[in-house]
Amino acid sequence: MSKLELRNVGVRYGNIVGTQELSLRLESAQTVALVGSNGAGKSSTLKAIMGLAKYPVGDILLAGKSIKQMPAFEIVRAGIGYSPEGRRVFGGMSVLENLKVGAYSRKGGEFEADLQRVFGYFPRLKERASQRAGSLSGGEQQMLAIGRALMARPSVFLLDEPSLGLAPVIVERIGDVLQEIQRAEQLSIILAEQNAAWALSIADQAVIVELGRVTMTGPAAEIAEDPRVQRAYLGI
Amino acid sequence: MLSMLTNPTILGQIVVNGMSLSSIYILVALGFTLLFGIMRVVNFAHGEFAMLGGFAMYYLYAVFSLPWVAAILLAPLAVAIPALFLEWLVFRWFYQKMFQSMIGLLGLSIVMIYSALLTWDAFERNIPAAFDGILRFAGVILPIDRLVTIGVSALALGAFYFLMVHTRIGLAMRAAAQDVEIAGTQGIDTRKIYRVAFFVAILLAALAGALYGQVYAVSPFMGERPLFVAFIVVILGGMGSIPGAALGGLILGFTESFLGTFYGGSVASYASFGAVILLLIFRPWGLLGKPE
Repeated sequence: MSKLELRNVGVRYGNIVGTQELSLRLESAQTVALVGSNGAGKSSTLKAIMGLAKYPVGDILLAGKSIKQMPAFEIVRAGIGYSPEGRRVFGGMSVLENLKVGAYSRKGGEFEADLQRVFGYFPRLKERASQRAGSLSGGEQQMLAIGRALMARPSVFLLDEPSLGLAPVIVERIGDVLQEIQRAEQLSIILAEQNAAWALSIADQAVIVELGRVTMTGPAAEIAEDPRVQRAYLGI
Repeated sequence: MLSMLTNPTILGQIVVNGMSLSSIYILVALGFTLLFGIMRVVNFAHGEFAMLGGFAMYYLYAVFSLPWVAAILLAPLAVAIPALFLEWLVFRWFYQKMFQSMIGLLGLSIVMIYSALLTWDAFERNIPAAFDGILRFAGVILPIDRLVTIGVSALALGAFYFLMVHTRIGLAMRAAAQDVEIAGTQGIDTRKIYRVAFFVAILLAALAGALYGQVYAVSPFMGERPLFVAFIVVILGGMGSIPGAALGGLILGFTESFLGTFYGGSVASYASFGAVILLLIFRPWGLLGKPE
């Protein structure tokens, strides 16, 4: 049984099509890169999983159980973490408060341990703990968005365009930490990215999305060698 | 006029009146801005909850002769608890729908006013003062009922501040106010947060109405003034901004007290609304709000 499975998911915003009959599987402790151009349906896919986008068609299963009708907070409690496109940290609140919000679904006393765990991955956040999140740099905000989601101890982690607007050096650093986190926590990750070269370099599997449909799927290393992918997404 | 300004009795009077008005205004405006900040609902019926608070106080204190402290504690609850039914029946359909909420809740406001009119008739009822008498302090005359109004409001504001800043539910409310969709994706049950925010907002409005009704009078139409005030205060401070509501309330309360003392109530109203129009032209996001 797959960790997460999408079956023919069709997202609609009124008359606008987000995805059409999109299917994919995420295995346990695996990173899948969801690669496609702007508007291909990557964000819609992640939003559908989080319960933010409606999909009258299809179904989404977490460890075999449908999460279709669940509100977002129950999906979080079921074990899915989300770092949204554009980071969307709570700008008026401190870094520490952002992390507290991330831990909101976890009742009980392990907050301190989780906090040290996240500070271990991102020491920068510890230095800036009392600072307003809105005053952080783009890279620091992305770290915070990732750390905030990790506070809920998810088993599946959805990342929407974490490289957006960041300098290449920062993107590389975030990629390294992501791989470290993935190994340490045995996370299953879906990484939706326009930066295909980077996403393929850190993922195990890859899914290419075009116009709301999956057009190609396979091991990331093989996909990166495919001539069509190289032409369309890698600029080779 | 200069001699009046230097007269400590008059000055003290202006300050005490200004503060008691400000504190009532802040209570009304805080709830109004909370509903807007979290649910994007423009509550045109906010004043009517203040009116119900006034009637609750009238019954509990003047009719049933409860001790004043019990009455002022129970009156807001007597409004806010049944109001949860209205939340379920009306408000929840308008969450995150700003324009629809204006029309829908304007309708609710009218329904509430005329239901009150059918129930209680139009005449004004007075709630006997609980604390008449004055305090003389360094040549300044301080009416005790005004001081009590300030004290009760300050306690309520302190409790509200504590709730928002130092509790789990307050953290969740602030997160929801900033980005409700993301708050949900971080594990916050936004439906529950909406209900809590609604309850707190109505509690504050009803408390303001109870205090206001005792200083002035209680009638089905008494909610109009608190609603206008909430609007001005919230636009002054910035829609959805909680510190903005506090600042706006202080500015409006003192302006009214000061101009009202020297030039009368109409000049005070001109000044308040004039200031709002100017602000909307030059700084439409308010003093402490954020540009959209």
